[in-house]
Amino acid sequence: MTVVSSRLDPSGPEYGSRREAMLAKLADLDAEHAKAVAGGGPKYVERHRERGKLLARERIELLVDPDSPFLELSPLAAWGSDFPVGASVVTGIGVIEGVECVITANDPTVRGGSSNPWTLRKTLRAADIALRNRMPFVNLVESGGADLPTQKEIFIPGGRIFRDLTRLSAAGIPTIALVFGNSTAGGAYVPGMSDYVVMVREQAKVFLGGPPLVKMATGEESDDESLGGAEMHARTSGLADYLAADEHDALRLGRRIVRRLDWRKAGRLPGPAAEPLLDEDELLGIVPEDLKIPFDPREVIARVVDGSDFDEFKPLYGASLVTGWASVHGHPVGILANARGVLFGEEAEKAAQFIQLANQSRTPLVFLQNTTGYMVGKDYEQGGIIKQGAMMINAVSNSTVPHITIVMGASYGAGNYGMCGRAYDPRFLFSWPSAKSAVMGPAQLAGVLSIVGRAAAEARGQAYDEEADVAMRQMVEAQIEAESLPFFLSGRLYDDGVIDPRDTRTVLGICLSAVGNAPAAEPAGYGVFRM
Amino acid sequence: MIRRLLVANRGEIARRVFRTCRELGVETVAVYSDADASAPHVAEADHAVRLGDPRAYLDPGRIVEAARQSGADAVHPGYGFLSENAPFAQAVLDAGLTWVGPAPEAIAAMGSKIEAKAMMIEAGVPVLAGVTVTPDELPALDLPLLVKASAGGGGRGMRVVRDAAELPAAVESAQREALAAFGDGTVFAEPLLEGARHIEVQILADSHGTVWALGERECSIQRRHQKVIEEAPSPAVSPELRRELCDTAIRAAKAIGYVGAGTVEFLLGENGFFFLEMNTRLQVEHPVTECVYGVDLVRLQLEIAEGAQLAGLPPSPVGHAIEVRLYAEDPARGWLPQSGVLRRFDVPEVDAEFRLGGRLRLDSGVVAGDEVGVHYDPMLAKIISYGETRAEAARRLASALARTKIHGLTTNRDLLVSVLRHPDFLSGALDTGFLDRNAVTAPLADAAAVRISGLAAALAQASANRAAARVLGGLPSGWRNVVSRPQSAAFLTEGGETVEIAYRFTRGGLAAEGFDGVTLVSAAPDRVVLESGGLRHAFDVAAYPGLVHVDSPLGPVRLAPVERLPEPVEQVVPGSLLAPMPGTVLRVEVEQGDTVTAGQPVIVLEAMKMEHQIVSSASGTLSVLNVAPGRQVEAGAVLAVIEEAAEQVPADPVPPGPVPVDPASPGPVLPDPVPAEPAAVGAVEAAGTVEPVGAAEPVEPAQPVEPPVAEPAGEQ
Repeated sequence: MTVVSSRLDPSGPEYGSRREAMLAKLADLDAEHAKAVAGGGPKYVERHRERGKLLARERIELLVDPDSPFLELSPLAAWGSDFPVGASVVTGIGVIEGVECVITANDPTVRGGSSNPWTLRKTLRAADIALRNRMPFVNLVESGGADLPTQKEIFIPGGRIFRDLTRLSAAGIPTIALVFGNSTAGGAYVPGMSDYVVMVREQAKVFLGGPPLVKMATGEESDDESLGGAEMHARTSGLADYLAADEHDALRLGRRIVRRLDWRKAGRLPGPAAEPLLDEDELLGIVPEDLKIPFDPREVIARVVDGSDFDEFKPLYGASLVTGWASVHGHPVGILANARGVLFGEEAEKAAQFIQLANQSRTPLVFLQNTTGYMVGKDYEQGGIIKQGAMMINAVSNSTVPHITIVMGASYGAGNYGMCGRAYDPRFLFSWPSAKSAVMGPAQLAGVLSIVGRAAAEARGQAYDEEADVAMRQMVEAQIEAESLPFFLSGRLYDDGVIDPRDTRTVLGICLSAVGNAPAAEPAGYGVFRM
Repeated sequence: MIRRLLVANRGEIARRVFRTCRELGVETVAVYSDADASAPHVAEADHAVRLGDPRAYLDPGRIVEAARQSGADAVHPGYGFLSENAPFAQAVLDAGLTWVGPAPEAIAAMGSKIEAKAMMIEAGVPVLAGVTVTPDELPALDLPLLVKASAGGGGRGMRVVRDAAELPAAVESAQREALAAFGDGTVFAEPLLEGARHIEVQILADSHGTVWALGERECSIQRRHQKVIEEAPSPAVSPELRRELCDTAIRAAKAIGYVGAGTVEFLLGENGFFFLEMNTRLQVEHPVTECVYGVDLVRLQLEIAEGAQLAGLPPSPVGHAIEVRLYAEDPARGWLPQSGVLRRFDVPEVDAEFRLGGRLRLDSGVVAGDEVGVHYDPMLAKIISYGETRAEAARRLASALARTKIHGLTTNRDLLVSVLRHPDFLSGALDTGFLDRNAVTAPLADAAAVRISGLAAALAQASANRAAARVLGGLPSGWRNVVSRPQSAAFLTEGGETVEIAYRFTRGGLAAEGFDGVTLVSAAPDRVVLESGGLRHAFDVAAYPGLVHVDSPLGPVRLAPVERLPEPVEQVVPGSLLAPMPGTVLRVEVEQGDTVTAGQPVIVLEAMKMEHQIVSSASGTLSVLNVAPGRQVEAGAVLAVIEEAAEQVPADPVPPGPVPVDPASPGPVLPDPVPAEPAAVGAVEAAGTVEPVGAAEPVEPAQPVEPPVAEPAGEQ
């Protein structure tokens, strides 16, 4: 047992101000989440209820096991876009009859549950999580189809939804559609491509073309029920396997279906777990408001891992990156955490070696990001920092164990890549409200533009407009700052959600359990390269 | 000397006799019906003989045969069943066995209430004037009066008449009931003593002419003429009155040459006491006398049967004892007997079972896991407390009862506690109208207690859910990164109301809607500790299929969890005849309004070239007819509805003695008010027929829903 000793002083002024800043950001986060929960607003929620229907989240709450945790994914999707926060669909990981499933539910109170480009990205991300982690995929369907004004962003890429469904099925991952309402035109292929289909009597409506379209196409007079009613599909077309008497019955049937899957997780079962010895509440006071000030990630690790027990690997070498072994909720993990922001050659080599070791023992990796990138400068370039960074990026890219990334603070430059940023396909990636991601810091970026502009002006023999330069720098700085903030990035699906730092242990616990549904991959065919 | 004793009985009295036998070194033989095959009294006996039919406890021939088969040399009848059946006593003696009881002649003499009265008048015992009555022969009597069956007991064939005009009808119905229940329709009328107390004297007579009277018992707390709480001594009896009562009882016993244990029952009114009847057997409530007099009455019974002499002076009473009879019945719903599985039965602080010498004694016929059926008396157990004073005994008994864990069945426990804590009871102001006069059927747990118990049940369930989780079990209960709504649970109370619980665990602890200021101290699947208003209480939670019991100092609460996602229930009116498959109606054999009997063909359906006969499910009236010949019907369609005949008069005359319900038709006599699987409660609720638990069967006051009693002859 190697218990991390803490040097955090929760009574000090530094801690207090960091905590206060974090709480303010969390209040903002709660407000954004509340927007997603509010769906289409009181008017449409009321109308939906008047029809005797359950809300998307109510459906999920009844579907999952009582008192089990539910991790909602991408709740801020579409943040900063023209579409409502949440992108008119709820996705997440929940437990149904003891089986971890990826659940999606259209929110019919938001523009009839219609899909916009963000809905599509969010849904595809959920399907991707189901596929990679081998979790049954349960869709609670009630959607008015594509948002027509943005169809150009949806129609062509949207075909992947149906492709993903059948690929999941081909991979042996069950797909289940519970149809509560409209699922027409392209949407009809959601039940169409699913392994199991439940339709709610007098509510589900599944057809390729509705009565007006049929009239236009063939002149045939028809009605909703005969074209796509639940009774018709259950008795005549056979598209529905189960006819549900009402929404509750559909959810009951959905649970019964999952129960009968006899689903077994392929990965390791977690071992016993002790709570961290240090208070997770103190995670609020660790990250400085100004990310230029480094912080010790061991303070975070000590408040996240089981028993605050962390065996550091190579502690005296490449000290700007902390690596080591721990477990979270009984799942063994290897942790890579930035200590002083900058990655030097030693850190890159240490990371590459550690990642290989984790692959040898098939241990999932957790990346705790707070990096300003790889070191620049003559000495470092000449010392081969590109080769060394490439080694680390190579290791991260080709590692076959599950990766989970938490962006605690800075995530700039190629550090984002080396520390398993979104493009490196971690199984899950979550941000703290204190996170910032960009090619470089806003001030640096503006400064670079200024230097380049000045040099260009000089080369042309022109005088540099200092006044315009100030304005340009301010504008660029503000824009980059805004675009590096977690809500903005989360809105664009560059993470799986912004989380309260105090929930890090819980989120990691759910994700590590989720990845255990898939079997561990074989390690790469070389021995570990000693660095 | 008795070597091997057969107890011709079941339940707690059989166990009670066995306990003394073990102490004396007498081998024990149990008899059992198939319904009792796994009953505790069978397990405890050295030998056990199967009788089969639930009624077989009433079959003298079978019992004597069982004694022969088991090699028993003596028979103890217990109480009820054949205990006061003179021919049975005779048959035992004729078989050359020892009969633990009085001579058959004494039993016969006291068996007829009219004859017994006449004998007592002769012996100088004060008796209420009784007159035999028939509907044609109605003498002018002072009102109010009581019409009673001469051979009766257990309240059957008994009618209170306050208006002369009611008399003929009362006599007629009492006769009918007496004939059905006891095979003897003789009834008589006597003045009704209102506000009187039921006082009885325990006597013990040996075969050498010594008769002891071991003081009195007061049994005034009665419901429907059945005793519920008994005590010794009576708070109304002075030493002088006691001497007078005892002398009278001894006189009565001597008048008929009585041998063995017996009880002389009196009514004590303002104008003195009057002989009611004499019970020629051990009484249910004998333990209170045992506690106060320090004697083992069963042991004395056996010794007297062996010819021993009562030596020395009768013992003197010390202290006070109170007994309650715990019944599986619902006082709030007309004392409806309950059946089902007794899931748990723990009486705290019990220091004696079936024996004297304790402060809290338990004589129980059942143990946890037993199925309490409809065949026999619904008495589960007797609990007896003993103290220096009456107040001490009452307080101890009330507290133990309140803390007793009784799971699976509704009982009269709450009523017993309420009576024991009632000011009138504590002051000793009792009479046989106590329960009619005082509203004591309210549950111990008030509405607020039920609600917080519901919260405890929900939190215990949450804890159990987490513990049983196959994945993510170690993660925080009900954790959400995006909060939309709380966890929820709903329960149906015994009163038929729904308690809805909404809760969430926040970083600050429990947040439960409508429970401001309630904090969670700890939660485990079987125990939840909550603090409310600065007071900390522990709630013991026990969950069974479709049933949750929450026991706490706030009072015991029984809840039926409402299913979150119930299976859809087709709303079908009881008595509906459904089409078993799609088809065409060929014939309708009866018309709407016709009377039909169970099994009578009603409709003939043609399907798949076959004729299918739809027969009536019950006897009654065809109240709804939905189809006509030629009509196409879907599977499950309601073709017709039979309205069951409301009042079911037993068609067959029932043999004398207590009447166990025919196992084949328990329905009309003993409605089962609590569905065996309370899951059905949720289902019923979901179907929209919102009926409180158990209210489905209305109580019919005109037709006493008296359970078949094990002790039939004359508890008053």
